[in-house]
Amino acid sequence: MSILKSLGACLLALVLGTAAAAQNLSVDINQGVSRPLPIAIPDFATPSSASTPAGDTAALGGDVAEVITNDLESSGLFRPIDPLAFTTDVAMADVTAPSYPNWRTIGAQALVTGFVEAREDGSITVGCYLYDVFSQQALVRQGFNTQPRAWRRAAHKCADAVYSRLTGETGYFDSRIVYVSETGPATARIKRLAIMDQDGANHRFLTNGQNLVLTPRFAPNRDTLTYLSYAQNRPRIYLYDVETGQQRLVGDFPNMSFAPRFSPDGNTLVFSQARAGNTDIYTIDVSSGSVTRLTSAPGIDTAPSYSPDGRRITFESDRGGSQQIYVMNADGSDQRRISFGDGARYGTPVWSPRGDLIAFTKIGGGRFRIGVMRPDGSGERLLTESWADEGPTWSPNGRVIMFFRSRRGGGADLYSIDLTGVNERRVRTPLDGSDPAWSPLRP
Amino acid sequence: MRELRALTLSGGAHLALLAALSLSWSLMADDVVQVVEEPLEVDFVTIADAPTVTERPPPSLEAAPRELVEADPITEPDEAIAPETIPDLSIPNDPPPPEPKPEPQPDPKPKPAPPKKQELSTPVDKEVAVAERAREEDDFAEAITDSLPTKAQLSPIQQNTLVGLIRERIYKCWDPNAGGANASAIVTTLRVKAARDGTIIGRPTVVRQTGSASESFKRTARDAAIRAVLNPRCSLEGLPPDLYEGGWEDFTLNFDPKDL
Amino acid sequence: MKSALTRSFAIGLLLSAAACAKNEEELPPPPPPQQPTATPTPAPTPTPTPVRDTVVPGSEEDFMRQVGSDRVFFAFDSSSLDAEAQDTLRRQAEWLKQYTNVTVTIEGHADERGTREYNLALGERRANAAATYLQQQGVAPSRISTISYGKERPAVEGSTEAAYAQNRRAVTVLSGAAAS
Repeated sequence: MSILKSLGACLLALVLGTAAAAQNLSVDINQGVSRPLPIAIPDFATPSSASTPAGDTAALGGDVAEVITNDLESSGLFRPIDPLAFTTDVAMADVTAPSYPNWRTIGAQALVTGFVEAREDGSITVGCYLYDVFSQQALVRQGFNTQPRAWRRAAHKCADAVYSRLTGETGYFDSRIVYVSETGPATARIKRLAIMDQDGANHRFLTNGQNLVLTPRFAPNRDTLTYLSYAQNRPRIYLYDVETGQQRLVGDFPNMSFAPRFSPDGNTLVFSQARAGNTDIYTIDVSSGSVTRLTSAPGIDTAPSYSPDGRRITFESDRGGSQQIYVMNADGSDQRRISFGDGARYGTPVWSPRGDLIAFTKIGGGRFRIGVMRPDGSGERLLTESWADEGPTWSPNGRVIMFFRSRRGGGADLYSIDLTGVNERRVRTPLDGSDPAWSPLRP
Repeated sequence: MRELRALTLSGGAHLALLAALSLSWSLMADDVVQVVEEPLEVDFVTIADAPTVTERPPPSLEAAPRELVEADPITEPDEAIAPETIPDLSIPNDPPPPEPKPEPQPDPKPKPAPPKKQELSTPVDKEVAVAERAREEDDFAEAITDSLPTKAQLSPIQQNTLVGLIRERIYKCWDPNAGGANASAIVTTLRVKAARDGTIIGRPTVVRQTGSASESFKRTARDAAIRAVLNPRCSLEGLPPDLYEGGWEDFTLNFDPKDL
Repeated sequence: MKSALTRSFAIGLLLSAAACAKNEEELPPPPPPQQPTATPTPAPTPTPTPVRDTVVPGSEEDFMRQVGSDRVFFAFDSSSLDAEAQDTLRRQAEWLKQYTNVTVTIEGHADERGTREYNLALGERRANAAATYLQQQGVAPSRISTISYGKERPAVEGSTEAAYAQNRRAVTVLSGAAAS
């Protein structure tokens, strides 16, 4: 219909004068100012205050707004407006019909409203609405049903919906981090696997520190981890089911097996095995246990990571004399070096979930930095620099990188940084932290 | 007696007030529906509770060689390991049976004067609303007039001056990064119509958009461009009146971040 | 490189000797440590252990006394055994050939200036270098196993070259040695 209309208009315009289209003044804007989007997130309303195991729905409404506020703020792309500036509360009726001038007055360009409602079956519904304040349009309307104790997840889902609609990217807030919690002197460091929500909530330890544990990584199912444990004084790879606590050894090799990561389909682990001073990369089928050797070059081939389509693997190797990044096909063919930085060493390559970049650790000039490059080695960009930044992991949407920063003299913390190299933040953990791994987005 | 009458009277008055308020509420409730121009897809998803975990095929753990399970040196008898039930949740792919519109049921209690009313009382908003309606009513006619040459013509010097003035107003409110990693590839062209007092008439329309990027990134770039034009901080108010006709009454903006 | 290391080691010894002297005698501070260039500094000989006959032959204590060291050190990002390391391992092998009931685990370690996985591999490479040398000296391969700790178990805390030099090591750990 509209095509017909515009066709008609075009024809008429042609008849009336050919120069018509060019008449309007045309202004090029080639310059802008990038700043976090001012957004208002008032407390979520409730249709009727009711108590739930997680608290009263009215109180939950405030809690949900707070979680969303923190999520959006932490991305560095939004500037939540201080609630003290709000001119009104948001009652149930305002949730679906906001009074735009009230929000425009305080400089908000976007507005998130919502409600928390207790349902008869004991679950809750969290309604989530996003509005463009200037054009007075509703942009998001979503509802999430969940058990009251999972209210934070509903809040993260709402934040993801808002983030996604306003940035064009998928969200990453409803995700978890597994990492190695550290405490004690460097010479007798106690390391435990720990897991937490992306925002640090729901933190818990998965192992008790009796054995040295390293490099935990998520399976695509988000509930299984693979990691390295020194149980029985033998460094080997294990699987850990986060929900059930079940664990199991993967492949009982006589030599040290380490640096495991899942394939994108979750059926295979790619890892390293050291044999007589020579470390190579292997895969093991998680269910059948069948092992395939992928590299055989003399030297250290380790830290493998699959491309998201599962067709290629990036890894590091010192076969050329120093530690550098390589890419090969998933069957081990066509191995080629991609990092060539001015005398620097490169390690811990990790393929972005978007597939277009590889994050890495670069060592040179006495500094360890986190950077990214394209899978062909071009476009290297360094994002961080410190005494020792190491071990990048990607947010599920490929927009944020988390890593750990060791302090000179001992200790380490988790940090995150935006892919554009801004918004570096320390990620709070109860104790020191290292080896973070970001889970895929939860369903 | 008089007291009783007074009470009755005031009671009646209250009732009337209540009725009036309810009326305005229900009117507003109707308005609400119209707020959303295009049918917004309402996703209503259920985050299931922990028990669903059992349904999920155990992550290839069971299928694994048995013997390997035996040693289990890792079973560290620590508090932490106890498989604490985690509200792990999955959302079925198919949305649950179409629930009666997921919008919250408006609270039937009488509400204070609906905010919507206030909103409409401000001249700007009235214009927005009126303009929007007008456009929808007669798109075709407008399309034709739009295609006609504008009356007045500005001299090249005037045009240059005006281009600079408009650019100076708008750029500060435009976030060139909106549009994700490929933002620099997206060029968005808007058509903007302004009233003499500088207010934007209706919403700027997207004339075209070029560049290879996903639709969601393009939408983000469009939104950002429109926000820049509608931002009161970057209003056109105070632009030279003599450059209005044939100038800033109706112009196009090309938001092009590729040089940034 | 090596001489610089020895030098800083010597300075360290002098400094600590000075500190001790101060504490014990409460005398005016001793003269500042001289550059140990010309002065023939007493070589940092292993502290002369009083000859005690209580050391049980075949025990760990005996191993340390006979061999002098349970560990060898490596240069940065290297697993080559220098002459000193080879000496140490040769003495270890001699002792091990004497006490054939003892088995060993060689622990390979790296300093903190490398990435996690790489250092695990590097530690294994170092442990393997030491193990191979012991085998060449006649210790049965079946008596030797290796393990790498990467940068996870430094011997010395701190982020200094001196600490790193101590941490890049392969340590021979005995099992089945006689009780002392």
